Amino acid sequence: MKPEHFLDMKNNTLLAKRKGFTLIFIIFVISSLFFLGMMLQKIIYSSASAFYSERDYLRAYYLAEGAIEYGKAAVKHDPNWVSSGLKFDGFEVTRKPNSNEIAGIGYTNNSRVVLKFGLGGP
Amino acid sequence: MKKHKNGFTLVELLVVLLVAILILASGSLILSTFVRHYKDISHQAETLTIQQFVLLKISKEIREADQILAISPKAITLKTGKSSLSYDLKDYKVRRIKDGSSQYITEEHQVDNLGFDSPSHNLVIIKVGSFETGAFLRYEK
Amino acid sequence: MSKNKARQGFTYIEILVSISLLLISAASFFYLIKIEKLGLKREEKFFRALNLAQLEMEKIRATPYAGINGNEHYTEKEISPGLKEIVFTYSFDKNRPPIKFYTLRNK
Repeated sequence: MKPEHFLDMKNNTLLAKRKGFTLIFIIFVISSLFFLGMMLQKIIYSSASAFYSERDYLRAYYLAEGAIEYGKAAVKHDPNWVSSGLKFDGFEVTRKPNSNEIAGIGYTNNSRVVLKFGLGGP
Repeated sequence: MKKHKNGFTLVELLVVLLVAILILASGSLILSTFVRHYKDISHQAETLTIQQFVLLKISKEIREADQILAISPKAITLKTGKSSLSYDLKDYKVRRIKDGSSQYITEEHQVDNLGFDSPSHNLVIIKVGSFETGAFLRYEK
Repeated sequence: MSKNKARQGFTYIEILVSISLLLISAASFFYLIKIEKLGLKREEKFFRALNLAQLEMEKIRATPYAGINGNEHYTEKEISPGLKEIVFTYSFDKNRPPIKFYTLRNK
């Protein structure tokens, strides 16, 4: 009985007729298409996250600008306003001691922008 | 006539053929639609990334510049310190000329239009594709 | 003998199952592509709004101190003589949080 069984199998080669192969083939096709879909998702996701990080950068940039304006006002108020790093929620201003330069730093979740501003000497 | 043990009847073959054509046709339709949309979407995402890059770079350099030397609807020239910087679109590529040496920051046809406008002094509107943003020269010297 | 014949061909059930699987996967793929296209459109809208928000912020930066009086996008408050606090909110889609910037301005 067994040799007969194998004789039958010789005529029905691999691709077409083995029992249950269709299902495996279909599963293979579906999974490869899903894989392609995931790749597409990754492309779109990375593009979107670039946009979000740019938004974070802009927030930090404008915070840093605000920090510098704060520093400018502080110096006007008190010419000896020194390098005390005041930290509000989001930005920080410091001044190098004995110099006319202030540095404003803006913080966001994912970025930190530092801007320097020279107050211009006498 | 000898009866063939391992043969197929004609009807069997026709049915199998029909079903096979059905499956293959629908499968190829799905695949071709998928591939076409895949190309569309990935191309669109890539264009967006490039446009974002160009807008970000140009607006950063405008913000840090000292002075606008020249501005036209298609090009802008800035001065920073002692060097000059200009942007325009040449051969469908975005070209950046710094102190005379030019450099292309995109490839052909990645950015199809680059426009500049200055509604008020030192404020520049930058247009890339269908997006527009702005930059202001803060520290004019 | 008949057993051999049955093993050779496609069973009816096999064909039914495979066709239905194909149809289900076809439907889900078209749906997936549609969702991804929608997602891309959403992100493009966000990018457009981000750029316009930047433009508005730069416009604010371009206006002199006295001219900063608030408009539909930002509110200003003088938190100390000569120092204005600017809160900028740009909403572009009712289902998404608006883009917010915060800055100060003096002189």
